[in-house]
Amino acid sequence: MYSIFVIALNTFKEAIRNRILYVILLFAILIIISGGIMGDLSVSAPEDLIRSIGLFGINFFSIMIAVFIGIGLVYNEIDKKTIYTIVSKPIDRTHFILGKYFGLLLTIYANVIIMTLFFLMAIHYYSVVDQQTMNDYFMHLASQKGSYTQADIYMYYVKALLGAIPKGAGSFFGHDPTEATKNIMTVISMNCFELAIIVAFAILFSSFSTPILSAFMTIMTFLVGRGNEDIIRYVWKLQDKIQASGGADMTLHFKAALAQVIALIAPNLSIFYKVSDAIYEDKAPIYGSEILYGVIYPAAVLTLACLIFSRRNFK
Amino acid sequence: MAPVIEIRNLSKIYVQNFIDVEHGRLKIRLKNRRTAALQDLTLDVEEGEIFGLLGPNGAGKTTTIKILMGIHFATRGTAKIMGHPLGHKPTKAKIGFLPENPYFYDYLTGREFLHYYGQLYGMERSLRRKRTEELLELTGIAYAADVPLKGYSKGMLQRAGLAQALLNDPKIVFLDEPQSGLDPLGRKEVRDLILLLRDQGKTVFFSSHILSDAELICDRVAIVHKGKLSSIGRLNELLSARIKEYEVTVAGISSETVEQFESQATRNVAAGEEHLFVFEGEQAAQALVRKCLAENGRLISLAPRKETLEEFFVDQVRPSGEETKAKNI
Repeated sequence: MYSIFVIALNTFKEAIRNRILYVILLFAILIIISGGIMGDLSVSAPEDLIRSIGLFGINFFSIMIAVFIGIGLVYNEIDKKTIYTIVSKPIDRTHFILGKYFGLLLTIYANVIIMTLFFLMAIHYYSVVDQQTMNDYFMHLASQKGSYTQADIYMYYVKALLGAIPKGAGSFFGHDPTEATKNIMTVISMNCFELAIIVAFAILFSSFSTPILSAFMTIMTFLVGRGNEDIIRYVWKLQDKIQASGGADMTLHFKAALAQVIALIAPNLSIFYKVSDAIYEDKAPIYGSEILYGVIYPAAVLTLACLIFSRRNFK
Repeated sequence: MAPVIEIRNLSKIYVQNFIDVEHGRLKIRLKNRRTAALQDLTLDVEEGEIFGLLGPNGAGKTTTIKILMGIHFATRGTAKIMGHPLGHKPTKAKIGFLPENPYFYDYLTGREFLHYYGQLYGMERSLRRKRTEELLELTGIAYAADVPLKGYSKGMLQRAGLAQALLNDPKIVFLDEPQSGLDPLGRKEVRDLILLLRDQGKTVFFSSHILSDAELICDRVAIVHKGKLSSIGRLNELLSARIKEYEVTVAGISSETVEQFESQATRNVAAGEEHLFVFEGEQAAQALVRKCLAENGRLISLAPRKETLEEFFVDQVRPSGEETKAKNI
């Protein structure tokens, strides 16, 4: 087990020394904090838009990190032949795969934490700098001082920014949860299970194919996974059609069987995407069966990756 | 004493699948090409010896080492290291391995790299630290210990590779082309290091193209060619069977004597009054020495020249009628 930890830590070190990670993270933070700017465009509920964009940003960019860092992790070890000296050490090949997996997951979760912190800070910041709050504040200021200057406005923004940092961090650790932030941690935690599945697929594909092919297959798996419930609805529709036609059309049977197999094999990722809960629910529920699925499914994918990897001859 | 490495009928066949399209006809078939990289290799390596696995490119040397290190799986046959089958983890903890043209994690510094590998061996932090510093010094890369490996030259990477192979103070060291990429000084240092390892009681199993170096340090060698064992034995057993030629250098002999022996010599070179004659037979050399002494000439040197490992190697791997090709190895 110690070797898994050692490899995971080295993988984490490898990932955080990779410049691609910082480019993705920078873009992610820009998108997440830009929610407020776009929120201004919303007519009805700008805070909903801020939360939607922030949660989407965290989800999308963490998947980007999983795909673009994950796909090369195992392949590069084989391509650059660093695997030669690793497998000659007293460790199991399985430990290598698991170490790579947990190392990448650790990297992604660290990034999710950073993005979430920025997101929570952005929520607090925008809740203070919204039009209504500012109007109230400056009306009050004007009634007290008689007038206010441009410098007072700048000062207000600076104070809002400085105040958002401890408030954002506090919300992250569960202190003083506000209406806006209380469901966010639950929803992001659910996303983490989805990431555990995506990373497992990235490692699986990387263990036997090239990075480009791995990226393609991982993204396809993600897309099919997100559309899994639609595929199931499609199967139901086809079954209705088969019943209506009396079961004579073999093409329909074939289509239904194929779609059913795809829906069965592909992960159901839509169950982890709960953005609407963060916005519309008073209290987002904890999803027990989804959590179980989010643990068992990557375990199965990793078992397959380990099986493939432990039988491979490295070129 | 039981051998520390036992290889029995080890074979490796690579199967390459490809799609074959026949020209001019719409016919696509899935074909496979089988290449026997290693065929029934059987050999033993004794404890404490330096064993050289020699052969031209594609002979199966690296394949053998890859199988022993668990990088490839054998198609047939068995191998044991220290009496245990391949993959036995406690045995792996007692071996060191340097691959050919090593490439390591370029984002790690030399020191971080050795610490990482030390962790993989399960070494304690204090021991890891001690061994890391010792080996950085021994391999001559201590000055670059905190430089990321991407800044290392090929020779420095080879040294870093050697350092990681010795990190666990192994009982057996497998070195695949340890001298490739090194300058003459680096090659000598590797040679000295291998001899030092033997003096410490370690077994060294290495493959090499550099026959002159192998000849200097190996206790025993095996020559593999086209995946098959061509010959194996102690160097003195393989090479001492015959003296290849005699080189006689004399001075102050008459021109008649020179003419007489010119015809018997395979080569002769004159430099001033000195003459070098090379004879295949001992008798002609002795006759020249006697004649020289009788004429009151000076015998400068008489050197019987044994067959070199390189000549033996070329004889072993050269296909008949392909002398030129063999010389290029």
